[in-house]
Amino acid sequence: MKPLNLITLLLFLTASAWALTRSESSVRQIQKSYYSIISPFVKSGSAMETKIRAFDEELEHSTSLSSKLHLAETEIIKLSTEIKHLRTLEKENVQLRAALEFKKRSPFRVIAAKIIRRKPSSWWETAHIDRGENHEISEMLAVIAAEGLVGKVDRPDDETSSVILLTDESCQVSAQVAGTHEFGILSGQRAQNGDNPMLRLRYLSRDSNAKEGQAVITTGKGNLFEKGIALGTITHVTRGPLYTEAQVKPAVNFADLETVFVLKK
Amino acid sequence: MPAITSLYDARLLILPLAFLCCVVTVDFSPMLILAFVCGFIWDAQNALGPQGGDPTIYTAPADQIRFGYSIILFLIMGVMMQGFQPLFRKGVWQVSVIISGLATFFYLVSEYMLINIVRGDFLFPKEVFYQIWISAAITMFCAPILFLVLFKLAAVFDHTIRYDGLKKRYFQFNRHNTEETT
Repeated sequence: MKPLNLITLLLFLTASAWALTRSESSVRQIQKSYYSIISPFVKSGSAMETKIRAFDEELEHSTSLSSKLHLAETEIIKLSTEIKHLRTLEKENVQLRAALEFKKRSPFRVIAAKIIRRKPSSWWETAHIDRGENHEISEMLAVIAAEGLVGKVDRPDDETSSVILLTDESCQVSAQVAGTHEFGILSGQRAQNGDNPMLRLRYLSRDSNAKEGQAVITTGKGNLFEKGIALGTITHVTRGPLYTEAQVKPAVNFADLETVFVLKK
Repeated sequence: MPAITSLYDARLLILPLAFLCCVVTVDFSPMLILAFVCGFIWDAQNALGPQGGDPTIYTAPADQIRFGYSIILFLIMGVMMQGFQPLFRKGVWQVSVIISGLATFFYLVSEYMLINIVRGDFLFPKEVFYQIWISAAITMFCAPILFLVLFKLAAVFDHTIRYDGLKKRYFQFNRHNTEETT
C-alpha cells in the first residue's frame, strides 16, 4: 500500500472512531450547525416539494377525470372540474376555519405552524414545520392537530423544526383506553408505507377488556404529552400470554396534514 | 428530494449518488475523505434525537443507530465502486452505472437491517423491498447524468479523470482508418 493511502486510512479510522463516539448532545450540536448551514436549501427544497406534490395531486385528479371522459360531454367535464376546484377551496376553507376555531377554544397555549416538508429521510416518519427556536419552539414539545396528537418536536432549528410523527416507531406515547383504567404505550410501526398507517398499543393488561371502536387518549404521564389528547380508535385486539396488544387507527389523517399546533409548556 | 408516495416512498438519493459517481473517478485516498464527509453529512441530516420523557413510564424506548454508522457504509460502497474503476477508466462506464444501483441497494438494505438488529422484531415486508429497489433504480438511472456533469466540470477545471477508454477507442478507430486508406 502506498504511504499516502496508509496515512489517509489511519486518519479515516481515527475520524470514524471520533464520529462514532459522539454523545447525544454533541450529535445535536453537529446537527444544529449542519441545518443552520443548509437551511436556505431546505426552504427552497420544501418549495419544490410543495410544487411536486401539487403536480402529483393534479395528475391523480386528471386520471380520475379521464375515466369519466367516455361517459360525459366536454361541457360537463368542464363544469365538474370547476366544481372540484370549488370543493377543494371549500375543504381548505373548512380546514382553516377548524384550525382557527381550535386555536380559539384550545385550553393549551399553542403556536400554529405549517408543514413544509414531509418524510425527509428513508426510514423515519418525520416532517418539518415552519416554526423554530425563534418562535419559542423547543425539544419534546407536543404537536397536535384539531383531530388529535400529531407527534413531538425532535429537533428545533432557528427558523424550522423537525417533528417526529406519531406513526414513527420511536415516538412512544403513554396512552389510555378512554373510559377505562387500561393503560399502555402507543407507538407507530416500522416499515409502514401508504396513507393509512396503523399504530400499536402495547402493554395493556392480560385480561384487558379493550374492544374495537374504543377511543385511545393520552394519559398525561411521562412528562411529554398533556392528558386527554385524542390518539385514535382501536381496530383490532390481540390477547397474548403476558399482555394485550391493540391496533389503533390514528385520529389524525397524516396524509392531509397541513396546519399543526405546537403545545407550549 | 421528496419521497414518491405512489412508489412506496422511494426517492432519489442525491448524496449517495454524488458520492458513488465521484469515487469512481478518484484514487483511494480521496475516496476515504469523501466517504467520511458524505457519511458524516448523511447522519447529521437523518439522526433522530432521544425518546425523552420519564424513564419509569417509557421503559423500552426504541433504540437508535449510532451516529457515524453511515461513514462505514459509505466506505464499503466506495470500495465496491473502486473495484470496478479499471473498467471505468477503460471507458466501460455502463458497468459503473449498474454498480452504483447495486451499491445503493446494498446501502439501503444494510441500513434497514441495522435498524432491525438494533430494535429487534425482524420485519421485512415487501413494501420495504419495493421501496429499496425502486430507490436504487431511480438513483442508478440518474448516474449517467452525474457522470456527464462530472466530465463537464473536469473539462472546465482542466482536470483529467483519466478516461482512457474513449481515447483508446478513438485512436484504434483512426489507426484502422489509416491502414485501410494505405
